[in-house]
Amino acid sequence: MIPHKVQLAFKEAKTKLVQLRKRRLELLSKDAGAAEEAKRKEIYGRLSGS
Amino acid sequence: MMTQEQQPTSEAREALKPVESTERQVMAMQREIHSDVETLQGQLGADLQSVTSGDVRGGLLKLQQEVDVVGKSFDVATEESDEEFIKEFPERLRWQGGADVKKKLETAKTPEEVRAAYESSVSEWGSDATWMYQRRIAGVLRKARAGELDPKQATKELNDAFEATKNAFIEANKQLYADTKSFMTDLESRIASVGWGTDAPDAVTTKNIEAVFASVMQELREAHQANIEQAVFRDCPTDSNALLELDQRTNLEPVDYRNELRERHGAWASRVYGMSKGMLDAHKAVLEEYGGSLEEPFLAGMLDMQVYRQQELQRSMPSFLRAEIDPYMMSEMEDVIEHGHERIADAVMFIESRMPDPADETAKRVILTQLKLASEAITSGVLTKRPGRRQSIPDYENMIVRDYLRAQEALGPALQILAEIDSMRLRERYEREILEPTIRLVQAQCPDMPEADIRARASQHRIDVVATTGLNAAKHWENSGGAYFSGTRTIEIPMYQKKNQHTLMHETLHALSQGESKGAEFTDFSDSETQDVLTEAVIESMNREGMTSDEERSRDRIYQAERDVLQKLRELHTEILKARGEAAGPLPLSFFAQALFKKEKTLFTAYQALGYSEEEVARTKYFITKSVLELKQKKFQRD
Repeated sequence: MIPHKVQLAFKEAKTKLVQLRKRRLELLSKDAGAAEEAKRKEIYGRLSGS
Repeated sequence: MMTQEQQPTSEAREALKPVESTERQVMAMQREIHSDVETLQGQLGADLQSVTSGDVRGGLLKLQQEVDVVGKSFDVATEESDEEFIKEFPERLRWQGGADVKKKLETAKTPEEVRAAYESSVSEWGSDATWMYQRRIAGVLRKARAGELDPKQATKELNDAFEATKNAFIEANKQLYADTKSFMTDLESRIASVGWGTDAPDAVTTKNIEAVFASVMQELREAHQANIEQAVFRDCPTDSNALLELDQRTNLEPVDYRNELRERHGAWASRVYGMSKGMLDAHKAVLEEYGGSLEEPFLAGMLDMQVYRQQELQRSMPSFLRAEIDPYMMSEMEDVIEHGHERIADAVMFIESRMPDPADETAKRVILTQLKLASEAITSGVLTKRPGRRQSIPDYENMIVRDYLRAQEALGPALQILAEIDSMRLRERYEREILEPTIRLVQAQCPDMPEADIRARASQHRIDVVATTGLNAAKHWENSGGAYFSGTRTIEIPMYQKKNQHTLMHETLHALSQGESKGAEFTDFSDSETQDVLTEAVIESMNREGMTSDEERSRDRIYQAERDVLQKLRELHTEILKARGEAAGPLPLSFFAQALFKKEKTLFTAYQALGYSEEEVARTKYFITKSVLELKQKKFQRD
């Protein structure tokens, strides 16, 4: 039986890592995704007929 | 009989086993966190080489520092000394336990919920109390092994450990339960039933304490599961019948049809929202045990599910209406496609991070069901989205392919977990319900084969549920309930396919026939088509021998053409013997079964053993070649 306090610390660490991974992806997409997003929006705009 | 001095030492030795196992698990967690940290640091290092924006670079450098802190904080939490832990234990129980219960009580509405709130907290303290107790005993035993303690001292220290743990626990209970006498009485009777609180040291064992908490946890899990299932399946909307009925009312004017459809859609949407809320509550109850909030990925999953259901409505619409409603649906689809894969990626990461323990399967299963719905929403969203008259087709196609691949990539880990859970469940029943009856089938057809040999073959294969997305399933597994792969000796069952006994027994027969051979087919012919026809005909004929009712036999016509070839081959024996001037009936199925289950898997060796001349063997070969050719031609014409 894993002690509760270790379980809590594990969950905290994992949660924090998830947040950090997500922030990394956000930073990367900020760096590289601007052009792609513009094109995507344009396509969606055309598809929905606006 | 053991002496008074020896007893605690042997008990302590027993107690050391779980504590060592726990220590190993804690070390594994530590390794996992360190490996996560290293991987992320490696990625961040590589990112820093490639990014162009100065702001982003600054952000990445900051992330590197934060990642470092995560690893170090976890080490601090796991390396806290026994002394510190024991010292603060009773206070922490009172403080943390009290806060937990207060929080849960605020939302409890029935006596059962009040009771559940206490019990779930008790289980957490139980975990810590047991841990403390185990560590103290382990400490005593280590000292005794090192020769630092004589048996008498060891006895005293162990009894002190019992006392300290017991008192801490009882003291915490008293504080917490002071105002709830009825619950206290119940808890005390549970404690009394395992001997906690008595003076005899042997009554208070780790095993007993763990048993109490395991049973409490089990009850809780079952209660949660019932809640979830009720929430998931309650009033699950099935609009197809309503729509069918609507379709059949041919007297409706298009405008009325449209209005009625909209009305139904509105009523249906409000039911979905109601169901979402019920599920959300149930999820919260389960996930409170794990800490943290699930709201974000869960709500996202619900939204995806709703969109998916809307699409079902759209698919049932007549084309004149679809054209009109498309622009409205399109905005929903955009939402799914733009954000769906990100939500799923989040949810997968969430599952990986919060539920490392197989005991968390209930919550995992429910969430994965959501993910499956979301994946279908994305897949069908992508596939049903189509360009208007003036749009550029290549742009549109690129977008679809990219979105689909991203969604599939995000879903991979979730599907894998789901398949593993499915495999585990299937294996639990497989041996009893499939393997044993199949072994009896083999025994019936191959009476000379020793049972020990059949069982030795049985131990060589395994059964797996394979993770496939809906699209893969359609492509590779159409009309297939499963397949046996002789290279890996694995029966693979597609994840979303109904598992039936007929197919599983068929594939198990293939597995059992392989034995020491390289493959599972007859080896008389070099072309795989002929090998397959002969092998499948024999296997499926054996399978049908095991079916008890006509209904089962006529359920489908699997390998019917192959079985027809076998039937004619059996009758050929009568003709061959007639040409010799001898009378005989058709060859029994067991002749073919025995040839297939032999190591060499050669049919013609069996014919020779039966006394066939070279000419007679050649006639049989010619018959088989001709029959397979005819069968191929028929299939070709049909396709």
